[in-house]
Amino acid sequence: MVEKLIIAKNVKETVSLMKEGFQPLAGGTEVNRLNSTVKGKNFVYIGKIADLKTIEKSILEGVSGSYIKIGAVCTFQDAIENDLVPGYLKEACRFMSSRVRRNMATLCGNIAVRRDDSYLIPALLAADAKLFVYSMFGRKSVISLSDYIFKKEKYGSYFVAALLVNTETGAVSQKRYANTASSHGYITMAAAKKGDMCQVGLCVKNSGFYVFDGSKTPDVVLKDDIFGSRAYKKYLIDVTREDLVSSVQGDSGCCCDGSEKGKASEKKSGGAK
Amino acid sequence: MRVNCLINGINRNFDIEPGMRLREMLELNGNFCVRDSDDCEGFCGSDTVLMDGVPVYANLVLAGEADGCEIRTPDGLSEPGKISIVQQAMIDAGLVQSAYNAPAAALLLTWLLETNPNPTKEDIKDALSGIFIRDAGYEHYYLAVKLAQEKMKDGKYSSEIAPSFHPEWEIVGKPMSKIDGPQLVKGEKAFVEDFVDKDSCYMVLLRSPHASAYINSIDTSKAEKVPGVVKILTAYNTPDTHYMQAGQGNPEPSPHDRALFNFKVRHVGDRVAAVIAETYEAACKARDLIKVDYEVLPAVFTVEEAMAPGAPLVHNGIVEYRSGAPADLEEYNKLAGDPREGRVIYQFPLHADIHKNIAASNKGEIGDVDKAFAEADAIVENTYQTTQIQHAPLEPHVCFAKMEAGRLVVYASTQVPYHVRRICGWVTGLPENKIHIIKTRVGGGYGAKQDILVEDLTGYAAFATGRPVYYRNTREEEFIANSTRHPMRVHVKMGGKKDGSITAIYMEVCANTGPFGNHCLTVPMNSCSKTLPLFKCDNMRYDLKVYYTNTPPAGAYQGYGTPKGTYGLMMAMAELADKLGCDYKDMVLKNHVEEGYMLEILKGLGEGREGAVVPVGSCGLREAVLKGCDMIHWGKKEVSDDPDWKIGKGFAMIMQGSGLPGLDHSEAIAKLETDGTLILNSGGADLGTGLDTISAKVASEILKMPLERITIVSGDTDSCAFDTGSYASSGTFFSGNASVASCEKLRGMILKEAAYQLEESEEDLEIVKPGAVHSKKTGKTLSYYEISHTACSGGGHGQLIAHGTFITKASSVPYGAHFAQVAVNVKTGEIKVQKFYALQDAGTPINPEIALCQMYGAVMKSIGHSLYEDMKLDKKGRCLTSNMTDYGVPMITEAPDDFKSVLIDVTDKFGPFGAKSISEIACNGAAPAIGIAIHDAVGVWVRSWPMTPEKILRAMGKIK
Ligand SMILES: Cc1cc2nc3c(=O)[nH]c(=O)nc-3n(C[C@H](O)[C@H](O)[C@H](O)COP(=O)(O)OP(=O)(O)OC[C@H]3O[C@@H](n4cnc5c(N)ncnc54)[C@H](O)[C@@H]3O)c2cc1C
Ligand code: FES
Repeated sequence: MVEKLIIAKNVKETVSLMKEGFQPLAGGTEVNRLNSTVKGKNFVYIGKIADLKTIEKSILEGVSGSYIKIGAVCTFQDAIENDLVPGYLKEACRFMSSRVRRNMATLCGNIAVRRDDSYLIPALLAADAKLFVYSMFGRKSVISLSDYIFKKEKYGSYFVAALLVNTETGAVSQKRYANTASSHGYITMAAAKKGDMCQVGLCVKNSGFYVFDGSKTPDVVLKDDIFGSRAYKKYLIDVTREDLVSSVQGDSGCCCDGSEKGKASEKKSGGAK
Repeated sequence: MRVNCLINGINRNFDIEPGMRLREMLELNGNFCVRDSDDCEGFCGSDTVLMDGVPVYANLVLAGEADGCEIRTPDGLSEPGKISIVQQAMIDAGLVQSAYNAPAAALLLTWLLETNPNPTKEDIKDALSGIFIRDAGYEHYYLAVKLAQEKMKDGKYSSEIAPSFHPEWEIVGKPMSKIDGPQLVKGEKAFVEDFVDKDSCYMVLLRSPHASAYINSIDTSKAEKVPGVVKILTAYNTPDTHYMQAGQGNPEPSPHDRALFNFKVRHVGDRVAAVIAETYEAACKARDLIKVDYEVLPAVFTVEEAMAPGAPLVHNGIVEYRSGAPADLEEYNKLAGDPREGRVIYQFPLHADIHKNIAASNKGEIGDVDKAFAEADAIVENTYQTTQIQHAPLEPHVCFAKMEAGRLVVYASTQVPYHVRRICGWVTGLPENKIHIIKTRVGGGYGAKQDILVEDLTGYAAFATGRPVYYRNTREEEFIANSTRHPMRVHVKMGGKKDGSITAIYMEVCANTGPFGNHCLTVPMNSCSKTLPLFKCDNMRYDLKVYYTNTPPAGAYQGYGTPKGTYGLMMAMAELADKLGCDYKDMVLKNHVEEGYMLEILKGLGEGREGAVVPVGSCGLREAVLKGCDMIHWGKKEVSDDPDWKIGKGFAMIMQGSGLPGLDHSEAIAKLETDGTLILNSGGADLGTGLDTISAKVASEILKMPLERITIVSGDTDSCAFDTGSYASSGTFFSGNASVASCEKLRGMILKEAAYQLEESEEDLEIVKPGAVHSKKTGKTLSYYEISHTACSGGGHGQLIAHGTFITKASSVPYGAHFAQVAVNVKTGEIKVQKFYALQDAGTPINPEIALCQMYGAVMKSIGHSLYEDMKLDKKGRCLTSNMTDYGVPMITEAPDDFKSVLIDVTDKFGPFGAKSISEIACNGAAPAIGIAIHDAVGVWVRSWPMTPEKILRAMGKIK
């Protein structure tokens, strides 16, 4: 139950309120939904901070390559409609099947909530995405998404001002398994070409996140649950890893120029005429 | 906090709590059609609004965020008294049925056309991707967009909406706007929640956390002290009257095995206490303070567990019979257990044995089954399993009741107003004249609202407190404390000859009724009685047993047991064809019944009584099969351009009934008002499927008067006459026929009165448009106004009122065939329904466009049941999938790429204007058609639904 709500005018105000125990409220699709994973009573709404609503090219100090910077209040739909955003990320955004929810939910909110059925995190882990963050004391920095996800104790309280995706990432292929398109994904996996090797990002419902070298599947602690048996999930992870890795190594995954080959969704249609 | 915003163009200011949601603020503003159907899950989209021109879910937006924003809601799409082009197009396309989400869908389509005047199919799909439609399916939304575009461009429609039938009639069989369409699509007051008095109390329920337990004590002392609490009801202060919640004809073929509250809880979610308080918050707070001491008992969850020797007993109390008690009843009752078990009362024998957890059973056969199996060239014998699934209507079960002038008035979202009245009478002790049931529009029923699941208690609460009481199930309660489709185990043995003829069929059905016996005989019976008569086979045997368990309750669900029986039988037939090396289509054509074939099998399949052996009547089955095979190119192997995906085809014959001959009963009263307009009081309960429109159309056709001059009042127990209700596919056939009877009688009365007034002979008179009597002899014409006015002006014969009753022994059976083409991924087991063609003989489709949408909606539901939906329970009987996302209802994304509904033109002898039922039957074909198509694609039989990727992979031996 929300007890206090402050509409922030800028990032500075947001960060200082976070220091006082307020949590950011972005699209609200996690905070306000039934059985939300977000606990807390005081929120600072960031949706009206115009600076956070932009998608632009960005050069990072001390980091090679060029990046696309996606502000904290950009929604899934904003990303889909923007020409700068790489195709694989648009494809991942489309995993959220409801257009209305895509109009509301932010990419940074999806990352911040760290759900193990995340639409975006596997692709972004595979593609070595970075985040532009503020500590509670207002210190700005660029960190890897991987650190943000796996070092929750350290970065859990940071404000994510933007998602940074490298425009030079090699081919990315991904796949999400869910009962229906609107159900939670139980396995979402993405593979990205990284030089001669392939990096895989994986999230498994009720098991967690993994990032690994695509040459072999890591040990994933699997559970029997409403989504399926351990044996089924293990089988899918193996088959999908092989498929995605061979797909990106054959360079036929999604491009990074904003166009979409949408390999996974193409396959889902059965390819029949 | 202060919020200033523009709502539908009007500037508004609000002082709100920071936690208030935008939807709640809009409700305060009077925009009540921005609804919530999933308790803020963010799934169904009933709360869709435009915020600064972008569709959002108003429940997931805090009101404070709306400061400075422009909000548009569905009720702002048209001026009062007018209707927008998009809203009208939705009605004309047949989409506005139970319509709980129709206003939100209209808003989305309006937004789509405003931002993208020429949307593609993908654009429309995308716009509707976040709204759940359960009634009419999604297919005609593409048509509605097209119609709206045409109207905007040319001022008229050029596309065909639906085929027309019977050119000799002007109204019947033609697509025409549903009469309650504007009210529903515009988001006007329509549903129970729209009629709740401001001073109403709220009722919330404390539910059992255990699957089986005795209640040792309930301490409500702390809860009663919560300010605002009016009363707490438990088994200790409510009547011990035993009844059951199935809305069926009295005496019911279901055991009376429950009271309002019982001293034994029998499933997780069973009623323990009801708190009635002046606010919802007070009711919830008090509920949390109730202390219950349970004696937890072992439980059973499957038929296998229930039938095991020594299994825990779900009911173990005293058994009584209202008639037909067995001679050894006294001995039997000596085995009764703890007095807290309560009683089980049978209206007549159901061949039950509660000491074996058997709630009902039946068996029968025709011919010499064993001999016929011995003569078969091949036999298949397999078991087909179905799981527990939920109706998932957008509007949950809801009720508002109050005492008014010493009478109990109940606003109910129900398919059975008269059964609601009877059961409210039983629990309160009030006679029927002291109870008034007002059936509102029903925001989704599908059988769930044939069961009286909330009206009994809400009615009692209003009676016991004297206060108005409002109750609404949460979405979780819809899953755990409602009725569901009975999980079943259908065992089929089928034998055939090399030439493809079937020699014998044996069908064993074991059904799980959960803790109570609602419909426990009739639902499983339908697995046999609405499937075996498809076959021209002289040797058939069936054996059905229904078991009590501690799962959430089961009850009526569109199709009753037929979808499950059809799944088993049609899959078995395809397996037999495979084994015999016959083409499945040839086998179907060789073995299906045709008009005139005597259905001997029906003799044992009455609803708890002797069944009537009748010949097959009007039957479009063969045409449906042949036409469907042509459409899907049966026999042509499709090949995917991706080697991982294999494509297969399948189909299934289907049938249902049109009400229950000899049991169902309908009445209608047609009144000519003093200005010559007509009010038709129909006992029938329109649950969104267009029954009122059927009554209006038949009245218009018979009395040759325009639809605008006809008003239908239905489902109101004070003003209408008795009707058994809308279930078992009875609406069109029974209630429609009662409307026909009343209008034909009224036509006779009008002619007689006109003859008197004109001083002419009736034979010389005829009814003419637009509602007048014309003399063929003198050329004189009297309008209905003149006739009625004179009749009611002191010197006349009085108001012309005709009462029509419909009962019958005739059985009008709808038939059809459903076809599926699926693609299955051999690596991952994923499955996609590429094509689905539903072909059905509904007799004369009185509302063809609504009929088509009924078919699309029912097929979508059954695709859901076949592939995705599943109520999964843990070892303690707790439902793990009690929300929409986890449960898995299909949305537009799951709809087949190529989806067609086709009406086969057949005219029935007994139906109103030749009509038969349409919608229940449409639930029956998807599971077998898809199952057979999966086999055609990848060579494995998946014998349990939902047919998931994991099951496919297991059947293919890819996982152990
Ligand atoms: C029906 C339904 C199904 C869903 N299914 C899924 C699913 O399968 N997978 C999935 O991943 N999500 C799912 N969600 C949740 C949600 O839609 C997404 O995770 C979404 O991306 C969250 O973004 P948001 O902007 O709405 O976040 P919000 O709800 O506004 O915030 C979510 C959390 O992130 C924090 N936060 C937001 N922005 C920032 C920031 N810039 N910096 C730091 N912290 C921040 C908030 O404080 C809060 O704790 C579902 C939601 C619904 C309603
Ligand atoms: S949150 Fe949208 S209908 Fe409940």
